[in-house]
Amino acid sequence: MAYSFPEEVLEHVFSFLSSDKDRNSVSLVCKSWYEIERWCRRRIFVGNCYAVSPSLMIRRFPEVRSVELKGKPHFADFNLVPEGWGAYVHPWIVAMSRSYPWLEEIRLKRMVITDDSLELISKSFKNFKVLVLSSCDGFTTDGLASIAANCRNIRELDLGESEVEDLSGHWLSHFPDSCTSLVSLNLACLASEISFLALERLVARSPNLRTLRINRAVPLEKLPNLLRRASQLIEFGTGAYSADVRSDVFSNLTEAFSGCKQLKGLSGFWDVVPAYLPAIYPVCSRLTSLNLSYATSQNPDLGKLISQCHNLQRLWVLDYIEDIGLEELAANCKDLQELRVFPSDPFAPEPNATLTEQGLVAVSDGCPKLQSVLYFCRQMTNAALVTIARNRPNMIRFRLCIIEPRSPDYLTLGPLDAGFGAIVENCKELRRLSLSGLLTDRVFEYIGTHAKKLEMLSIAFAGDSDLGLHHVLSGCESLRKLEIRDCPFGDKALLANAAKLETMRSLWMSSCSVSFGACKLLAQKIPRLNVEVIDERGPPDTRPESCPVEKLYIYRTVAGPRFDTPGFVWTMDEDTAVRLS
Amino acid sequence: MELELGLALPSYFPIKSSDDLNGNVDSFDDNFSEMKNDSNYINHKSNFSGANSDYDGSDKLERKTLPLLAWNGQPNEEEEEDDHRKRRTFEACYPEFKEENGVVGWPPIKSWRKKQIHGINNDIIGRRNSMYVKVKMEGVAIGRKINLRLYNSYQVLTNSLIQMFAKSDQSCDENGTRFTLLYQDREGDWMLAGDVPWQTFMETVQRIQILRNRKSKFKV
Repeated sequence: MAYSFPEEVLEHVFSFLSSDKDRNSVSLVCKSWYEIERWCRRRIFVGNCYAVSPSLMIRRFPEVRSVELKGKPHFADFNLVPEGWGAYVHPWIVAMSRSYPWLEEIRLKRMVITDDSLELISKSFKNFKVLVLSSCDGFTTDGLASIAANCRNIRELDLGESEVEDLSGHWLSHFPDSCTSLVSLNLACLASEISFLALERLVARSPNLRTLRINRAVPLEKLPNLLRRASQLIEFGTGAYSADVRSDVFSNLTEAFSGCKQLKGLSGFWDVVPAYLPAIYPVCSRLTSLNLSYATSQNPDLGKLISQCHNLQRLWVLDYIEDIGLEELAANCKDLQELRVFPSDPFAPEPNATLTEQGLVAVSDGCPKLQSVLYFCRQMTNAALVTIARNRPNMIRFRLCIIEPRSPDYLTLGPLDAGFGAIVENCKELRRLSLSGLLTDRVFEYIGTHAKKLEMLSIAFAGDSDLGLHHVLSGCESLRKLEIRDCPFGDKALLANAAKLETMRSLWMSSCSVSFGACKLLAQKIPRLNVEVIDERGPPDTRPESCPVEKLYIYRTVAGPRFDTPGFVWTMDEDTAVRLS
Repeated sequence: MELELGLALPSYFPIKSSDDLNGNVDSFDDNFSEMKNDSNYINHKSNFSGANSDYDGSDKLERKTLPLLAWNGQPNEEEEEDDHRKRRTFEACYPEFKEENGVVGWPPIKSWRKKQIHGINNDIIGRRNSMYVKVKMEGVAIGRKINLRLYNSYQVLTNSLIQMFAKSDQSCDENGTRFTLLYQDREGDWMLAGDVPWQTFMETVQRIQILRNRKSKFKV
């Protein structure tokens, strides 16, 4: 069919499609739409840097301005992926520096980026604006200095929770005096002192600065001056929030916060001295986002503060908030959408605070918009989970971590199958779920039956047999990421659902019961899967075929096996399978 | 045990099935549908895990062949036992996975956060401004850990602690005079808080205990 629109018109129409999914659908309509779409695609998201190669990306999308790449598996956050695993961004930067001279944005998550890459970025892209590095490592403040010195139009520099080797705090003074374009600057992850004078001057000459997160090394006494120079801030992350209690310091700080009329988000509060918390009372009613998860403050200070934040949509706290504080939250914050409660002392054998299932039940009851939960606690019941599920059928993300593995319902001493079953049955829009506690295969039957929109599932210390995994793989239609640790799931479930793996982004299994033989078979069956065995004990083929592999990472790819595997990673391919069997 | 393992080896891996594997996908699926249709399977399963603690697989044969057995049409009962053995085998196989304080990567807290908050791998940052001691109150089951650096006098500390514990115990009164603060010093002796200057107290305190004043119990 000959289309009647000129290309330019279609390009213009496509430009209104912001979601990658819609763009992908458009490109599948016909050959000419595919062509037009690929030439006008400006943003690319690659959920796994090994699922495609830089050259394939560039060949298909020649005019990209913004690239987002993700590297290591999510479990890398918890030290389950050995050092040196991979996810090096350098080949991508090299390829893009040749083909995307107008690239403006790079966003990386869990990738390794070196100072050389940072320097190449700073010198290759003439109009570079955004660099976001979340949970990345491999670079130092020298690399940041080249970004500061050379990216004249930089708008956003966000170091997320990266591990930066701190060589010097002077890199900040490399921002030239002409740099006035900053909108967002997040340095919260840096350990050492930064040059405060340089920071102050940079902030003062950045009229568009909306987000500023400084690091723990900046003392509380410095905040008032900084805030006065940046009264337009929307989000602010403090440094160490401690000082000797002095009324002049306090009133100075209170005044500075009061001056920030647009402030909507606060974070930081390291080493908090509770006496200084009332300094933010004047802005509390405006706050929509509050991250107190580094603040070891306790009740009543904590509850008092939170009960004043009536418009809060997002709250991250430590378990010091206790049930009583969560009850206050439920009573006062009716717009709350996201709650994360972290453990203050996760490695202690005994509870450190009175935080139980009751706190979460209270919030689920009092906050009708609650849709995202991350909750670390030490006890749970099926009854509580059923109540939460009934209270909040709008839940989208539900991650519950009962700290002791395989903890049963502490009242009935039975498994928590029914409770999590109620969650997946009632929350029809659930996209992300993390399980913990004592669970049998039955919970996976519930999940496979009801969790039709589930995209990411994390499982630990659960299930009794292959049947559990089989329920998930055969039932969860929308599943994209599955991560499993310490579960008795093995070959049968995996091989029976091999084709399912090609519809998913990735599967991680560690300390499970998948044999080396099954890994080889799987790679043979589905050639477009990279089946990578991670084993730090040495080559897996020196052990019996039936011996379970330590860790297994499987992902679909159009790029073939990767070439940068370290010594402890083995990629199963057809050749190995044939050679070894 | 190991001998058995060695003898069992040749039959572990059904090489014949790798030949017809591609055409055989359905047969795997069929295995599952049988398992699912057998309603006893699941019930039996949960009973089994309920009695898990009584089950002792340690003196039984540790075969690692289990997942593949069903391919050859072995009955489910055997497979079930095998699943439990698998778990045990695994844990026995990888003792290095256990850390001093539990399992690597559990609870799932980002390593970055661990460093920041809990001072793991990075003592300088974690300890710089904190000094945690345990506090117990007589008659209250759950103790607290508090950061003493957050307080600068006995008065503030006492008031905060009373309020903190009062939340979980309605019988507490906010009036601090009904409670006595004791602390254990470096030598392990229990001392009365307030008898030495605050700074000296800070240098020696190891843990704190709050006692109820006996008389107040009967006052109501």
